[in-house]
Amino acid sequence: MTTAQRRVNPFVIPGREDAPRSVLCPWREPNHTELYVEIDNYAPAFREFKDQFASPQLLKEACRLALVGGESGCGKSALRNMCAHWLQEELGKVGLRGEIFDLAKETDALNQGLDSAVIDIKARMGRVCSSLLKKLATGDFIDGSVRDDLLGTAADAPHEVYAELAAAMADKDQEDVVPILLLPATDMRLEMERYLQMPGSRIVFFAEAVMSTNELSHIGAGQNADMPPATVSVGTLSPADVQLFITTRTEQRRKDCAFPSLHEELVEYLAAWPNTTVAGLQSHLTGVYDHARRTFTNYTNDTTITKGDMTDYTMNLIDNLRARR
Amino acid sequence: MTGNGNQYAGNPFSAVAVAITTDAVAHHPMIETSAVRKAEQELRQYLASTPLAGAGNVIAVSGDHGTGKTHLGVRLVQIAHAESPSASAMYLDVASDQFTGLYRRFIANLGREGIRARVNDFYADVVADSLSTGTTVDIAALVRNREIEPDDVVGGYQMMESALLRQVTQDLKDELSSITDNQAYATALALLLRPGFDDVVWDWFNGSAPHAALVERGVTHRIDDEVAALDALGVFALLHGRKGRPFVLVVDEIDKILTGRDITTPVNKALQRLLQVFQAAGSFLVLSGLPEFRRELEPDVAQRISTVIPMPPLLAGQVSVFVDLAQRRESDLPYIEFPDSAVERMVKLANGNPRKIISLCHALYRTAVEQRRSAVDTLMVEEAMHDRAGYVTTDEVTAAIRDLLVRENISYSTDQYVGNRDSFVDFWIEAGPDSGFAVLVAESVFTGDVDDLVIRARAVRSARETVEVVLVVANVLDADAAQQLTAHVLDKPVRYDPRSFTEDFQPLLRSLRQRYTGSPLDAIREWLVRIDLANATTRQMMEKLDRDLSRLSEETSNELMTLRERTNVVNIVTNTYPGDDPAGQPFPDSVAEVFHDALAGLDRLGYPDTLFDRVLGRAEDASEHYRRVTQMLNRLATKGVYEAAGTVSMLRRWITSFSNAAASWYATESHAARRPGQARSRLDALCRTYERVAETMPLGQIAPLVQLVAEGEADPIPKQISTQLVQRQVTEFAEQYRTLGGKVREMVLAELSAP
Repeated sequence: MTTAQRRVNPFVIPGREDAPRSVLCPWREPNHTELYVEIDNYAPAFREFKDQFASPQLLKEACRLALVGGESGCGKSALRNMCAHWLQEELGKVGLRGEIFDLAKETDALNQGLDSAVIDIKARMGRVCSSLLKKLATGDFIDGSVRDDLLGTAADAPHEVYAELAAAMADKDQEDVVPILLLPATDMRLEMERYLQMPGSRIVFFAEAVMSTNELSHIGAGQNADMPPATVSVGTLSPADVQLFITTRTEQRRKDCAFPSLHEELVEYLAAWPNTTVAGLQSHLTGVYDHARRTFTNYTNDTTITKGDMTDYTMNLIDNLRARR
Repeated sequence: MTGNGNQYAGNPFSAVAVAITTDAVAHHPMIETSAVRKAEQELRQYLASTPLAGAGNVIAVSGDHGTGKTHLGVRLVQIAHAESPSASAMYLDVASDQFTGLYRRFIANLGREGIRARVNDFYADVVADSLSTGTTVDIAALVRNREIEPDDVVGGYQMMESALLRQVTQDLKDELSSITDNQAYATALALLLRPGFDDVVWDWFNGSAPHAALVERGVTHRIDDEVAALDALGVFALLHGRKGRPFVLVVDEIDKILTGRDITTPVNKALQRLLQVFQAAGSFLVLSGLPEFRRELEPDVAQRISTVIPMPPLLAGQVSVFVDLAQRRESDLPYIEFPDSAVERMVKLANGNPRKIISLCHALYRTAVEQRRSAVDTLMVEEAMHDRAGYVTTDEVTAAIRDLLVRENISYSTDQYVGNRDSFVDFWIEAGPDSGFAVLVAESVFTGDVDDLVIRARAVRSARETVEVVLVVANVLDADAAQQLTAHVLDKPVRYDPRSFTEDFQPLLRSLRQRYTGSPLDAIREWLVRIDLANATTRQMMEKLDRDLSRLSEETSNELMTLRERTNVVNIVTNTYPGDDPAGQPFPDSVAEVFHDALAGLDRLGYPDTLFDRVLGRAEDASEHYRRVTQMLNRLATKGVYEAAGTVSMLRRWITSFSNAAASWYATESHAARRPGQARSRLDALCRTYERVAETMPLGQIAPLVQLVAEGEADPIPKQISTQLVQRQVTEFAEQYRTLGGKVREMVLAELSAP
C-alpha cells in the first residue's frame, strides 16, 4: 500500500475513491444523504421541489414531469438524486411504491454501440421507452409477453406505451408501483414538452434540463397539461457557498479521518473564482488534496494546504494541459 | 556549352507549359511582367500591414488562355505561405459552372479539422473571457493565446461547459450576422464543439440534407444552391479572417462560373455580400479568369474589386531574361543561345502568349541540341511554330468547310480557276450573275507568303464585278502578314480553330441565303466584323461542355477510382517488375492518371464495343433500328476503318509500353532523379523516345473508326455524326497523345520536388 492510498482525500465521496467525479446518490447509497451541504445553491431548490410534490397521491391519476435545470457542473444530478430519493420515501407514505429507473445513459452512443453518435428526439425517446420496458420486465413489474408486445410500439409511439403501462403493471399485481424515470439530460425544450404531454398515470419523468432558469420557466407555457412540470434549478456558488461547502465537508470527514486543513487565504482564493460551480469547486479541492497527498511529508490534521500548494497544483495541471496540446 | 555536350539529355523548358497547382511550381522560373510585379506588390502590402477589420482587398487578374494566370495564382499562395508566421492561403481552380462546386472545393480544402480549429478560436475567447477576472487572469491568457486548449481547461476545472458553448453560439451569430440572417451556420459551427456532432455537421456543410438532430436545432435548409454556397463561403472566410489573421484566397478560372449563363439577382447579391465580407474581414481575395468574366459582373459587384490586373503579352526582353534564367537553373544541361532576332520572332508568332512561347522554347531547345547547334535562329522558330501548330492539314480545313456548306444546303464548286492562272480558289459560291464568294485555304502564312497571296486574291476579285475573298489559314498566321493581307481579303484572314470553326462559319454561310433579298456581301462583311465576339461565345460553349465534364468527373470520382484500379496502368505501376527492387517507389497516382486518361480517351474513341453489342443484341430484329444499323455499317465498315483499328491497337500498345517503362524507371531511379543527373537524363530520354515515335504515328487515319464508334454510340439509335465533330475529337486526342511525354516528365518531376 502506498503512502498516497492511506491518505484520505476529504472531498472524494467515501467509497468512491476510484471515481472521484461521482455525484451523490442517496437513493442508491442512503449514507450519501448526510454528505449534502445546505448551501444556497440547491437548498432552496430542494425545498421548492418538496412543495411542488406536496400531494404525491395525485400520481395515481396522472403522470408528472419533474425538471432540474441548470448549466453543466451546477449540481443538477446530485439534486435530482436527492429529490428522487425524497419522492420515493414520500410515495411510501401515501400507499404507493416509488421505483427508480436510471435511464440517463440509455442514449449514449458508446453505451448503446450506436453507429451514429447523434440521435434525434424521437429516437432518444424511443430508446428510453424500450429500455424501461426491458427493466420493468426484468424486475417482474410487467409480464414478459407485455414487454414483447409493447417493444414494437416503443420506438415510434412511446406515448402509447406509457398510456398502457399502469394497466400492465396492475395485471402483474403491481398497481401501487410508481416508476420514477431518470431521463438522459437534454437541452431540447421540445423533448421535455413531449414528456410533459405523456398520457397515462403513475409515472414520474425526471429530467435534467441543461438550460438557464429563464429558459426553464418557459417549459410547458401555453400547454394544457394536467399537472404543470415541477421545475427547480441550480446555479453557481456564491463566495459564502464556497466557504460553507468547504467547512461543512471538512467537518463531516474530520470525524473519522485525518487530513490537512485549508489555509484561510486559499479558501478566499477559491471563493474568488469566477462563476464557480459545485463541480468546479469539487474539482479544485479534490485536485489540491491529491497534490498534497502525493507531496506532503506530513499529511495530518496539524498541517495546512496553502495558496502556494494550490499554485503548484495549478501549474502542474497547466503543464499537463500544455503537454497534451 | 557545358555539361553533356550535344547529346539531348533533358530540357529546361516545359513541354506543355501548364501550371501545376502544387508547391512544385515554386521552383519554376516566373516571367517577371508588370502584372506579376503588380499582383505581388498588392499581396505583399496586404501581408505587411496588420490586417484590420475593413482593410481586406479584392483584386482581379484577367488574361487569355496561357497568359500565366494560374502560375501567378499559385505563386501568390506560396508567397503567403512563406510569410513568418505562415499566412493562411488557398488556391482554388474552378471545375464547375456553379458556385456550389466552388464552395465544395473550398470546404474540402479547409477540411473538418481546419473548420473546427477556427470554431475553437471562438471557444478559446469565450473561455478566456470567463476566466479573465480575479484569480484566473493568467489562465485566461494561456487559453486566449492557445497555449492550452479551451476544452482541456473546461474539463480540467469542471467549468460550466453548457453556458460557455451557448455563448459561443451567440458570439458566432453576432459575428456572422453581417453575412447572413440565417442562424443555422452559427448553430452548426458551435455543434462541432460538442462530442458526436462531427459527422452530421460535416455532412451538412458538404451539402447533405440536415440530420434530424440538426433540424431540431434550427438547421433546416441545405447548402445546395448558389446563394447558400456563397453565404457559406462568406461564413468561412469570416472565420478565417478573424482577429487580424491574414487569409489569402485565389479563385482561378472564375470565368467558368460567371460567363455563358444568366446569373440571377439573388446570386449577384450574394456574390456582392461575399466580396464585402472579404473586405470587412481583412482578407485578400484574388479572382482570376478570362477577360470576359469582368464583363459579366454587375456594377455593384465590380466596384468591390479594388485593382484589376490584366495579364499582358510578353515582350521580347522579358522572354530573353526568362530563357536565360531557365537555362541557368539547369546548369548541367547544354546552354543554347536564343538571339534577340529569334526571340522577337517567337514573341510575334506566339502573340506574346507565355504558354505558347515556353512550349516553343522547349521545341527549339530540343532541336538545337539534337542538331548540335549552339543557337537557334528565326527560321528554326518558324519551323517549330509550324510544327507545333497542331498539324492541321488543308484537307482537314476544306473538309470542314465542305461539311458546313452541305449542312447549310449551299451550292458550291471547288478547286477551280475563276479567272486567270493566278485565280485558283478552294471554294466558289455564286452569289449572282456578276458576284461571288471565294474561300482560299492556306497551310500557314508568314510575311514571305504575303505577295503570292495578294496576287491570288487580286486575280480572284478581278474575275467578277463583285467578289469577296475569305482566307482561311490552317496553322500559323503571322500577325504582320495578317495585317498586310487585311486590305485584300474580307475583313482579315481567319485562323482555323477546330474547336470553333463550325460556329464561326455557320452565320456567314447562312447570311448567303439572303443574297436575293439584300446584299449578301454586306451581310458577310457585317458578320466578319463580329467574328471576335462569335469566337468568344464559341469558346464559352466549349468550356461549358468542359465544365459539365469536370463536374461529372468530380461527382463520380469514386467510381473513377474504382475503374482506374481495374486498369492495367495501375496494376502495372503498383506492382513490382521482374528484376526491380521490390522496395522501389510506387508510381504516383497523378502520373498513373495521365496514362489512364490517355488510354481511356483512346478506348472511348476507337473501340466500337457499344455498337457491336447493340447489333448483336438485335440480330433477329428486322425493325427500323436494325435496318439503320446495317446501313451504317455498310457505309462505314470500310478499309479505312480496319486500317484505323490497326493504328489504334498500335497506339494503345505504345502508350502501355511507355507507362511500363516510366513506372519501371520510377521504381528504380526516381530517388536519384530528385536532382539533375543521369537518372533524370534517362527519364528525359525515355519521354523523348516516346514523343519521337508518337510523332510518326498516323493519327489522322483513325478518323473513320472514330466516326463509326461515335455514330454507333448515339442513343437511342445510331445517327450520322459530322466530319467536323469527328475531326475535332481526333485533333484533341492527337494533342493529348503527342504531349503525353512532356506531361509525364513534368508531373514526375513535380512529384519528386514535392516536400
